[in-house]
Amino acid sequence: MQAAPPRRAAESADIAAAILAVDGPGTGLLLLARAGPAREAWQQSLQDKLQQPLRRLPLRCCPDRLYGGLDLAATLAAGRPCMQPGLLRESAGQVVLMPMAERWSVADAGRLLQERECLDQPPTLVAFDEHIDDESSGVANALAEGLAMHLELPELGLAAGWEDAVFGPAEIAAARRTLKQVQTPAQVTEAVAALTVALGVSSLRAALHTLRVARALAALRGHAQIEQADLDWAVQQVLLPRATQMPSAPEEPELEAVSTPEDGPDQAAPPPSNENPAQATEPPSADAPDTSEQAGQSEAQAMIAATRAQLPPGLLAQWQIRQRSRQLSQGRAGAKSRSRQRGRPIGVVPGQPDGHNRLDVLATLRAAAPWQRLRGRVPMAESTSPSAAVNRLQIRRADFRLRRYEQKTETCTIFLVDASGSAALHRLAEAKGAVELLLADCYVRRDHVAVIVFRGYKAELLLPPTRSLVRAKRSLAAVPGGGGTPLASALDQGLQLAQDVQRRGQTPLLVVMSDGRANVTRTGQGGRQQAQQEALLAARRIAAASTSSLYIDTAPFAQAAGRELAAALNARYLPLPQAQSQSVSAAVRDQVA
Amino acid sequence: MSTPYPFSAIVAQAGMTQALLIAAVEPRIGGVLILGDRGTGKSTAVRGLAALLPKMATVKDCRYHCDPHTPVPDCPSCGGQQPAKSVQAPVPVVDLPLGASEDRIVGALDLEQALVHGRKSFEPGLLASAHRGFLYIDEVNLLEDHLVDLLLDVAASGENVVEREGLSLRHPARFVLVGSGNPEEGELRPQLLDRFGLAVDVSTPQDVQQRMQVIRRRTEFEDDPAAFVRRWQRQEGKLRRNILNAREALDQIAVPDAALERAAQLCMALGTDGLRGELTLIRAARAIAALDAAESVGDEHLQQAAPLALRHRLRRDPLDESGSGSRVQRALDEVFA
Repeated sequence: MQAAPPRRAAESADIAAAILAVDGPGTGLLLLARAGPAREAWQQSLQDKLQQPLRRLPLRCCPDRLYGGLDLAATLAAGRPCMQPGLLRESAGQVVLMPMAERWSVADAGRLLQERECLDQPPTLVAFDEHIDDESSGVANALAEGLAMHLELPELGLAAGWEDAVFGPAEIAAARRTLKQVQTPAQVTEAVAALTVALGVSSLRAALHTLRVARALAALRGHAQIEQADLDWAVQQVLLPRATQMPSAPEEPELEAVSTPEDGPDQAAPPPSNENPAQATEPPSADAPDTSEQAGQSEAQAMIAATRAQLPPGLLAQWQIRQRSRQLSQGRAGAKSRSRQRGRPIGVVPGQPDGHNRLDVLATLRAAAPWQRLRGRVPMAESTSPSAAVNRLQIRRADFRLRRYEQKTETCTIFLVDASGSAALHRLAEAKGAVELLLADCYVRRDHVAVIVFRGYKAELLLPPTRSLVRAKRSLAAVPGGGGTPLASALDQGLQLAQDVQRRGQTPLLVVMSDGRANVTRTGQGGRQQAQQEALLAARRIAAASTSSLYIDTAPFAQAAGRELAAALNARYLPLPQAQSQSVSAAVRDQVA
Repeated sequence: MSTPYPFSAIVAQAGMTQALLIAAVEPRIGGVLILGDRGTGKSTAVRGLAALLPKMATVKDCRYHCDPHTPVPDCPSCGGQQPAKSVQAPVPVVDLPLGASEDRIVGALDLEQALVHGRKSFEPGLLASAHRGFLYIDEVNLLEDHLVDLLLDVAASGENVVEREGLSLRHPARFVLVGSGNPEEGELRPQLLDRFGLAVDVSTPQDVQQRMQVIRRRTEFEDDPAAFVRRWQRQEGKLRRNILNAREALDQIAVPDAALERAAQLCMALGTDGLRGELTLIRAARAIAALDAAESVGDEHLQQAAPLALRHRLRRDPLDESGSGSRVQRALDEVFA
């Protein structure tokens, strides 16, 4: 949390550790922390609280090891099937640390959570998100969703922070005993429900997580039921990081209309009917009737109001940052062009099967065949003893052959659209059309599209890489035009996104749509001469990174500036004064193929 | 495996529960696609439904849990022998992890048998485990395309044909495919959408009272699953009897010509391609009628079935901002005016 002072954030991280010790399996933690002394200290403090060692889940842990399976080497040595238990199952009731959690791909993270759900005694997960801001990416959505608390560990002021732990071992031991007895008052449930609506959190798992965290905190503080302070802290760490909208006070009927009815007589939306909590579609049984419905109501309102007052002032800015990084959060797994499971088979290699790879049995047997006599295998006909040990094929680890596949990498087309000056509106409309045409085409090719728009003083990532037509249409809907041409910053941002895309294993293609007349420098100053220089430099950097690009000159008459820029980019130059969406998408398709 | 949350205790989400019930009554419906955010109770509903269904009789030790009453002669495991020893087994719900490989899904050469004993034998995959049950794919829109193709093909034919690694066999694999996903994170190809029988959009209830109810019930359930399940036993029993009765009645329900005509009119008004839409619409309407204990398919059943069966088959128009649900509604209003 940028808004919270380091001291307070350190305290929060300590509280989170205590909560993990009390109710780990029900909560889980996503900690934004890079490897360093602060994290070491936090881990140590967590270990002290748990009084048991922590386990580490290595990145790229092979599925066989993680979820259990046949241990091939041992099986061959013993001549009977040997199974290995999965790491996940082994660590029942323990805390498992996941360093570099942002490098887990969606698929791996999804499987991890799914397997964990099936265990009777799931381990507690602590994921360390180590991404750096300018990489603009984070852990996979599925993983973030499964972990209750989202915190940031401050780098500063830690030495002082850890000495006076908020909760001691005695409190933790007591809290473990009393956890189940802590009551959840009806108004707390209602406050959480109302807050999820107000903050635009659609997942009700988040609401449940909030209550679990609040309950553990109440147990730690020795409360008999969840109190305001417990709820506040839980909301801060669980609901706020997931917020997709600000609870703007005047528009919130449930919050304002009831607590101060005289203030909002003209509000359009009525408060939900409080009289019949059981809906018509609901079976009437099994719901505890609320005797003090009315009293609980106003208390809940007070609670919501108090929680809202707690929202840190810089939340909006912070929320926007999170929002941006959320959209890109897919998890990454590095560039890959040789897939191990799919694509066109391209032969076999020696190696160890690990669950990602598939053993090629025929090739393995072929590799083992010449050695059988040397290894002491007696051919069937000569053998008199029926013993399986003698007849058994003698296969050694070195014989293993794995299958390899080659796969075409996906393409991500990044549009850099000039929205400056008079032609902006027309150009923008055509660019939008081109993006939608490409997206329609994407159903077949499974490619991604991103749009960066530049005008005025800066470039803006309008559409993060996506395949989704729904989202593309929504973010392209309202883009204003006009202003200067900050070409250099646009190219910088394009390069950065291209590298980001590359790191995710896709091939980027930059499409620059501009008239090439830069007149705003990186610092946001005017000045055609310097702006042009900077733009050329930025273009050369893109060329040096060997990112393929396409330059579409949208000037009414082709000009030297455009050609020069295209040459610096090492791009294909395409003068398209009308920049029609059809021709643009055709050109891009050409370039990709 | 932990106790599943009772199906009848799910708050709101009428569309999703109805689609799943239709699939339980009429497995030939061709699968259910659930689109919506995370944490809206999709997995809960699927697991709950499987637990709700009565146990099924299976051939003892058959790896494909064949039905002893309708023997499958070419089952590689039991060979359809008669008489077969029968055991009761719960309806399987198989979770398909996103990262699953083709080997894991289709089944593959049993490495242990091949290497240790030099024997060629087949290790059944997830498709075999899902036979006569449900195959649940969370985030189906993020699944590799070639896997989705494969799954839909098997789901449609009810049979898994394995031709790989020197193996050549086929085994029955009839299951209800349930896919879920968030369209904002990536879309399904239209030709895949069309292969799913029913589609529903789910969203979190926007009403505080309903959300409270969800949270309260879920918390009660987590605190003491056994007691919670006991409290919902009667509701569950009622629903289970309803499903069983509907299954039996299904074949006797008449589809009058008027209903067929209405269905054709609807599909024409919406411009859906192919006959699959109409077929699914009629089947779904029939299942709804069976659940209602009606004797024949009436207008009200068609009206309920139409959004589920047709909304994902509309031709996508990038310029039309209104959702496909409202287009179906408009067509319904016209046809039934």
